[in-house]
Amino acid sequence: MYTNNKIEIDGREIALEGEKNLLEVIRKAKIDLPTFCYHSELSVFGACRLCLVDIEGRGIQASCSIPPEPNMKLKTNTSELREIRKISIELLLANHDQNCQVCPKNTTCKLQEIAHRLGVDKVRFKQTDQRQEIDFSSCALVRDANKCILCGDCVRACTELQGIGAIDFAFRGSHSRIVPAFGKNLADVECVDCGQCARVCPTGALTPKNDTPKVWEALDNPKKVVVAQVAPAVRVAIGELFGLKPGELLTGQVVSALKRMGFDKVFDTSFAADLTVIEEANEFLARKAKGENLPIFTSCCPAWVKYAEQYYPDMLNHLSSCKSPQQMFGSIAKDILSKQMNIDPKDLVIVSIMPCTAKKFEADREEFTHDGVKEVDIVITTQELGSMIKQAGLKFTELEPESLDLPLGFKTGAGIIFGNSGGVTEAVLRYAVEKVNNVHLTNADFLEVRGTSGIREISVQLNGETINVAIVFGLKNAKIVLDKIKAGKANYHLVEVMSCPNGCIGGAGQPVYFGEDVNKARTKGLYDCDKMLQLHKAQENPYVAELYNTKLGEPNSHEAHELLHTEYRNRKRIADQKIHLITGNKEEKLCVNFCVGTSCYLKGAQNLLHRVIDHVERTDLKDLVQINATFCMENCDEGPSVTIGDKVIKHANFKTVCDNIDEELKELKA
Amino acid sequence: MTEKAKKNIIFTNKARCKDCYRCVRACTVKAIKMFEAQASIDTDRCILCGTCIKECPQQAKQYRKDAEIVKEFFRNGEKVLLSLAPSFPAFFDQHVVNRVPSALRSVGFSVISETAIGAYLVSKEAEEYIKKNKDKTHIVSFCPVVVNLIEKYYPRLVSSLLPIMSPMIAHGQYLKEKYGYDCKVVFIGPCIAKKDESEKDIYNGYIDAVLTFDELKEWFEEEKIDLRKFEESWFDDPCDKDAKLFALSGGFSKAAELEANYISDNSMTITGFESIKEALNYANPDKNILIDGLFCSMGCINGAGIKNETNYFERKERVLEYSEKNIPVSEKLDKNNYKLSTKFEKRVVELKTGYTEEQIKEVLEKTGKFEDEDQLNCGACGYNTCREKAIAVIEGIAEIEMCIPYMRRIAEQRGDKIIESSPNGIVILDQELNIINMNPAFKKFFYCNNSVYGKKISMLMDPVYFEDLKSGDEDILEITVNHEKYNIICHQKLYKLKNEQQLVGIFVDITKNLADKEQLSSLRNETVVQAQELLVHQIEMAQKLAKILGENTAKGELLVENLLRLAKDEQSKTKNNNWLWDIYTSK
Repeated sequence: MYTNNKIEIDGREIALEGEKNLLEVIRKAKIDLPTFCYHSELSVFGACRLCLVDIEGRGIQASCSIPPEPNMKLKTNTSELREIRKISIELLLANHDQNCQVCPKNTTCKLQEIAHRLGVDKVRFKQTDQRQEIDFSSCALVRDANKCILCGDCVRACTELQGIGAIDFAFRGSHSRIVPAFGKNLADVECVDCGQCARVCPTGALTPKNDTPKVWEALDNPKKVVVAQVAPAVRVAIGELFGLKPGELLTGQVVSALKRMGFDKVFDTSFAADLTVIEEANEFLARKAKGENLPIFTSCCPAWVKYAEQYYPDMLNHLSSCKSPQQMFGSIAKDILSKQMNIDPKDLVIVSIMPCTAKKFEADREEFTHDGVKEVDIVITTQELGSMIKQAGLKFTELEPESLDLPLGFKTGAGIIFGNSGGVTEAVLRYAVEKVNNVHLTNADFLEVRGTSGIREISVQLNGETINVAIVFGLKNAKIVLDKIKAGKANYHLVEVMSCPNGCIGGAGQPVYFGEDVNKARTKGLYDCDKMLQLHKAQENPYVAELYNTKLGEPNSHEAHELLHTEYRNRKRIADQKIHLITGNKEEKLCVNFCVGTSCYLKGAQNLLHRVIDHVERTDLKDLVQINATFCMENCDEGPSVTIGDKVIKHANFKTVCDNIDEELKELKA
Repeated sequence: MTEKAKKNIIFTNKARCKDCYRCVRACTVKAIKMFEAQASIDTDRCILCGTCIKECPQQAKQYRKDAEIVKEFFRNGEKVLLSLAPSFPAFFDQHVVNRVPSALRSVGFSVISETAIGAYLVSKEAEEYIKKNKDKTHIVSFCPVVVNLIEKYYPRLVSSLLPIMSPMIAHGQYLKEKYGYDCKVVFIGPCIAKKDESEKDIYNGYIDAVLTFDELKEWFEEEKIDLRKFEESWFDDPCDKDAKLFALSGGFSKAAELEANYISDNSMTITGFESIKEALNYANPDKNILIDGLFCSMGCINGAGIKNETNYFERKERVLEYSEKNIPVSEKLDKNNYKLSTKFEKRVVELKTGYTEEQIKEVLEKTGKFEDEDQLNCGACGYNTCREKAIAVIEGIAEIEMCIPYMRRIAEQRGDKIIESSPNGIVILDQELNIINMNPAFKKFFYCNNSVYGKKISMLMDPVYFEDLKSGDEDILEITVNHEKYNIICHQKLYKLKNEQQLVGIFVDITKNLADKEQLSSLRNETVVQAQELLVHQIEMAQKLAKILGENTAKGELLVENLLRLAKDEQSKTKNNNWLWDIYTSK
């Protein structure tokens, strides 16, 4: 476009090659301007003011939010710029809870690093903010507002990657804070525990919950038999915590470290992933044959499952009923191992090592506890495993590799690629194509499934029929696909959804990473791992076959359903809190709830409520009813929404409400 | 294939051959040729056991490396299948052994299979064959070196070799049947002779290349493959457990499950050349025995393609441990689906014949062996007997100069001459200063004969200088000593032979030199003395003269005084005599 497509940075010419903003050009010129709020995968925010540059003719500007123009001349390192950056950090530090040594982000904190880099050696300002309670409510994440520097990274990650917005800015000016909706705790809002906010958080304001003390306690208890399952994504990322490159495969070292720390057995979640492939593929083929509940959605990602329960309760019958590999493993292991080892299932502690924070939530779901015994007892992330290895003083990189235990440590490549976006789909196709087309695939790769884009669509031929598949990562992308399906604009048969960028390898429990290169290397690590194994299809796993022969019978059998499948439920995004408007005197009262959420309000809920209250107060109903205003009932499409007793009234109006109250009261009186 | 065949499998690196005969000594079939003090391999005689490669201290024996052939397959986009010998757990550390298949896949092999599958097939075939052919001698033909040995040196036993392919060839056939004949099959194992076996025309290209474990290791190092960083994985084709023990002594017998009534009690399971030689010398085709032999001692886990310091039994333990690890996959293997029979042929080495006893005697005489007792049969040349070596010389594969005692004697004789003929006296003492050698000049100087051997040097001379040398820091002493007793003066150089812990004395007779010197110096001395005497004499003369003069004067004076006194006395008497007094006192 331009004949002279260059800019001048600190007196040196740099060619422009389509960079989005000046910051990218500056970093290309090997000048690492510090930033908090700039993430290439998120939108540009310009809040932290550290990437300031002095542009000739334009003055001092944040380079992240200026598109490069040819022949610009700018300086990145003047005394004025240095001074401004230092003062910015000083001001941030003034209100930052500086208990660094005991902070989970200690040594990985960006604030710490940048303060050090910029040579900030004193803080001359007084703390003005009041101390806030630390939010321990979530089983996956800890929110410590005292460490928040208001960079807004978490807010954008939640909104832009997941389309949720469970946290946002509240209040103004010096009172600004980032809080969950209504100032509630994280556990009480629509947060799906994916943890991407914690991944991008530069400080210790949002961190994955630390469950390592529970693991040590179990290991220290001589009564307990402690067994680990290691998710595929862990092995290609844990090296990053010990100075190795992303993508380096360290399964043997992980096993060795776990055994040295006292784990009795170490197994592979990929075994259960192989099992998942067979269950899920058969479920898909059965639905396909009947033509019902299509497309089928994968259900391996717990953040996605919670999201679907919250936002698309009407689509829950489309979710595969398969438990995730983590829970399948727990379910099978508790059953088989307790018998094999002749121990009480209560004394068998299953520890999952996951790339994921939402798995902590999943393991806690009540469906996965039977007679007081959890399928998976403790979930720790890759980061937490790294911390345990360091606590134990093990020289991780020098450990001689050890072997996973059999049979639950045996997997095929199908179970390994589960950690990549597209992996579940590819694994299912490797099964379904062979089964339906009755062929033997010598090359089991479905390269078209792989990719780095957040929404990918492919078609495959199954028995002469075209099967449309969508592969999605990021819940925001999931929403796009779901809305297309609901609007009848897409005809998919199978949809894979993973919440985190590039799938589980980009999970928030992994070592903190920035940019796409890390995930590319991890993805390659898992595909390479698949290649080096002798088996690539779940149906070839001899131990899975043995499990069917000895225990489960057929895929999707009754026994398989008991152990390997689950159910989902409509889940309210915000924990209920009603405003009592009229409380009758009688002991037995009819409960009438009016939704006063925005959508219902706009559809006249407020007027309806006033009329009904007026009506009730003027009649003898006053003692017989309890009238509440509630937050969103999540029926916005069909508002105004009113519940009378157990009955849900959609498109409510004065007449239908009064009639129903009368009717219900009749029953109550009777 | 033809191009490959051109290059010898074992060859000598000329630059590094140091002429030590260790290879000749180690070579079980004496296939090493020495020419101009340089070893080379006589391929007709060689049975490719690889012993010389292991033995050569200078790594001058090498074998053909074939990794490039395999890399070429990859470059050409061929589908390459791997047959991995059952000894591989012996070569890899227990922590990484299960990661080897993964690493091999990452290098580019499409299918990783165990040669043990071939072992299973051929053991079943052998079992059937032996049962059908009772009351005969059977020699297990799965070790290519044993086959070479029999074909070349025991032609009478060729018919006793089991006419069945080796596990490697059978496995190559299995792989090509299963995955297609357009695929390439590479065998990796501990054996160098397998390279040759794979190239036999009769085997129809079942195996396209053979590498050793050492070649594989080099490849891994080249590609910077860290086995620790691979997922554990298994082989592509399932394999019988017992067949995985084929690399161990007796592995065949175990896999073939031969009941006792099919083989005689005298059957043997042996390894190592010595045992095999004994067995083959003992056997004849109708003996009704089974000889299950592996040429390398301890079996294939000690093959020439394994550079490994690990203890043999630890290696064996690893192989045993690995055979226990199996995944429950089964494949119906029927040996009848494969053509497993083969043929062996007599390949008698054309030895140069027709040499006469005279010729042998002549060669022996060239090395100073005139009588039978001159033949030491020390084996230093690499041959077991002087006679064998002499024959090898006639055959043109050995050289006269290889006889170490002969060469030593020549060297010693040359050295002795110098000492014997020296005009200087030379004596050698041990640490205790006992005489252990001396030359004629020494004997002449010190009037002694051989009877002083073993006696202290002090018998002949003052040992002080030798003692100083022995205890001091100096390595050499130079002194001149007058041995009055022997009427000889010697300039002596005494020095230490450090390695031998001996002291050497060289005595140069300088008695005559010294006499000349003395004459001159005495002449000089006399002159000085005489000059001094002259001086003394003159002074004495002067003193004497002075004395005489003084005495005369004094005498005279006394006389004069007496005269004066006399005169005074007279003056008192006659005052007229005062003039004489005055003259005297006015002096």
